[in-house]
Amino acid sequence: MPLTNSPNHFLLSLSPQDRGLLQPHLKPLRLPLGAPLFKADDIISNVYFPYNGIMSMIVGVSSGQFVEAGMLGRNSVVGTGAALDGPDALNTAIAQVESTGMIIDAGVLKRLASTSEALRMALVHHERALSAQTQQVAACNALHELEERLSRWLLQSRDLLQSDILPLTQEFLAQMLGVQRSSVTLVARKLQEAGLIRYRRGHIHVLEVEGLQDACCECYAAINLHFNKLIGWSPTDFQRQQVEH
Amino acid sequence: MARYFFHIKDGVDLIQDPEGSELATMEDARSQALKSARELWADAIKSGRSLGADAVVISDEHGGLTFVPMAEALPKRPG
Repeated sequence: MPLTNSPNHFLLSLSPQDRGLLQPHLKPLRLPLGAPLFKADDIISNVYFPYNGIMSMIVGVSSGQFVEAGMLGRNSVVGTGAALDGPDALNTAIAQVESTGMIIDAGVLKRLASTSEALRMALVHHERALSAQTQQVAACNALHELEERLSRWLLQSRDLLQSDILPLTQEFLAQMLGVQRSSVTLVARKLQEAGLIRYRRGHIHVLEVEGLQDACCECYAAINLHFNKLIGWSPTDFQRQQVEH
Repeated sequence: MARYFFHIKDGVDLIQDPEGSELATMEDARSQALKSARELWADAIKSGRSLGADAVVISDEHGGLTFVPMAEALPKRPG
C-alpha cells in the first residue's frame, strides 16, 4: 500500500520527502489480541504505526493490577519516545484489539529524525498528544464516575476502530478502567437500558453515539481537542453498519 | 479452575453476568464477590446515588447459587 494512502495518520501527514525517508525501512506487523509491543522497562526496539486495532498504554503496580493510561491506533505512533530520546519503555503497550500496521527500527527512526527537522517535530507533536491524553485520563480516573469513564472509553475505541461493533469483554473493560467486573456489569446494564449500547458476550454494539456523548464526561472532547491541535487528527464519521435492534 | 458468574440482584431484578470469571475455588469466588460488593457500596456512597444492588449472586457452572448480601461487605464495628 503506498504511504500516500496510508490508514495511519502519522504516515499520511508527513511530507513526500519524509515519507520517502521512512518507506524503505517499514515492515508489516500484526499484533494479536493481548500481545505486547513492549513492556515497561523493556528496550523498545521498534516504533509502531498502527493501521487498525487499538494499542493500550497500561501501567501496572506490584499487586499485579494495572490500569490503562491512554490508547492509540491509526491516529498516531506507539513508542515515539525511543526515536526522540532513549529506548527504555515507560509503560506497557498491548493490543487491546488485534492490530496490524507498520514498524520501523527505533534506532533507524532516531537517525532519520536527526536528518529531518520536520520528521523530528512530527514525532514530538505525537509524543505530546499522548502525554496530553494520559494527563486527561489521570484526571478522569481520579475524578469521574465509572459511567462517564466507560462512555469515554467506548467512544474513543469506536473512533479508533471506525466501527460500532467493539470486540471487548467486560473483564477486559474492567481491567482497563481499574474496577471490578460487577461495576462494569451494572453500568453496562444502565447504558443498555438507556438504549445507548447493546452488550453481547464479547461484543459491545454502540447504538446511540449522541447519547453516549451525553453520558460521557468532558474528557472525550478534551482529548480530541488536544489531538486536533497537536497532530491535526479528528475522529471522522464512517459508514455505520446496520445493527439490528 | 472453574467458571463462576457474578450476577447482581436488585429487588426482583437479576442483572446477569454474561461472561463469568475463571477462579480456583468457591472461596476465591466469595472473596471476589465481597470485593465487588465493596466497590458497589463505595461508588454509591461517593456519587450519592442509590445502591442498585442487594446481593451479589454467584453461580457455578452446575447452576449452584450462593448469595452474598451487600450488607456483608460493610466494614465491621470494632469490639
